[in-house]
Amino acid sequence: MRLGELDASILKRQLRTEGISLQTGPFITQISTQAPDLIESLHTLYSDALICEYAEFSDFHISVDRPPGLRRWLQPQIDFYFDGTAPFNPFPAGQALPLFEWGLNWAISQHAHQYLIIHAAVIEKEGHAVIMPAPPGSGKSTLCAGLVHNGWRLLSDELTLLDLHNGQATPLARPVGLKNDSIEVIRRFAPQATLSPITVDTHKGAVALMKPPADSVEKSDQPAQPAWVIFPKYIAGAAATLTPHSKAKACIALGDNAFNYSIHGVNGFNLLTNMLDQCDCYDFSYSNLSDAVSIFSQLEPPA
Amino acid sequence: MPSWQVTPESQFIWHSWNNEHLLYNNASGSTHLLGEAEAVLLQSLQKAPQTIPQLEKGLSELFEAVPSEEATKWLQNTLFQFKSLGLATIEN
Repeated sequence: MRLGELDASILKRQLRTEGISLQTGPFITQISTQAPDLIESLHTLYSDALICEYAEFSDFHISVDRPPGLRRWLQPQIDFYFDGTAPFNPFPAGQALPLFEWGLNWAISQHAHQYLIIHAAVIEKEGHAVIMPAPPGSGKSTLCAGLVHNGWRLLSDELTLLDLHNGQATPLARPVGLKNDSIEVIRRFAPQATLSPITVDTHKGAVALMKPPADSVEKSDQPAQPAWVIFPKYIAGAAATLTPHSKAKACIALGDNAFNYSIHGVNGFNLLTNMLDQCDCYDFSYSNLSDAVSIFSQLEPPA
Repeated sequence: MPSWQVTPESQFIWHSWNNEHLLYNNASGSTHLLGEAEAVLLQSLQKAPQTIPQLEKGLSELFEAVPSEEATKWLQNTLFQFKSLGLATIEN
């Protein structure tokens, strides 16, 4: 059963009591919360995700709830609990959704060491994946959101999971985080996209989450072979341009952007170098999403 | 005269594209990006410990270059960079 098929009142009751186990990519996450805004957003953003009704095992146990004590009434806050402990300082109560998303990213990046995990978006078309590592503010998520509404499949906006045995990218189709001006850009560029309400005044500014396309969630069991590593950069007024990027420097950048490269040692090095043997690498500057989509549609897989 | 050698406990894994060389050092867990000349220098040290004059002679022959003060300075600087990165040591 998919989460969207569950009646809202039943979902609310389950999230407030025993929680629900949700399949996102290769992980089962048990989620519980009392926060009404998070319950509503989960119902919308994860409506295509499978509920694991009889899961005997969950990879992550997460709850997002108000801390006990007077804080409930004075400047209410919200805590992220992982296996019953709170690894972060509390957030203002209205930020439950971004806290949940960022917390789940943290849980995966710190624990799923069966993968080499790179801080990068990854999308796919016709079996070929593009990995897009980039620092915050580079326009990575905006580009990713635009592309997945124009023929590309979302594997992940934040965490590229590379299988250590075959180098394939494992899908983890979850909501795409949009910040500040990007929210309105995507509203205009992809009016069919479903966005959460905007959370203001987070440490990243105004944030909204974009629901992953249903097709991407349904194909969560279909990994893809990386064919390109592209370093995007939004530059106001820049024409959409691909420029070749050194494979050796791409390898160093991917290692630097990986959460657990040092844990995997030589296996991580071999995985990245073997993968890059099969990839073309580019820098990509852009300012207009339509032009970016056009350039990406012309990518030819490496021979 | 002291000779240079690769750090005894290190195990190097190389991967190259054109004139760029990646080196994974199993002893430190670090990955290094080396240019063509640096890679040749380190690979020659992997074959056997060598003094600076021996390295100069070998590299001059390989690159068909005339030994120069500038080349000697580059060699010394690069060897000490290798030392600071834990890739090479001086053997007395």
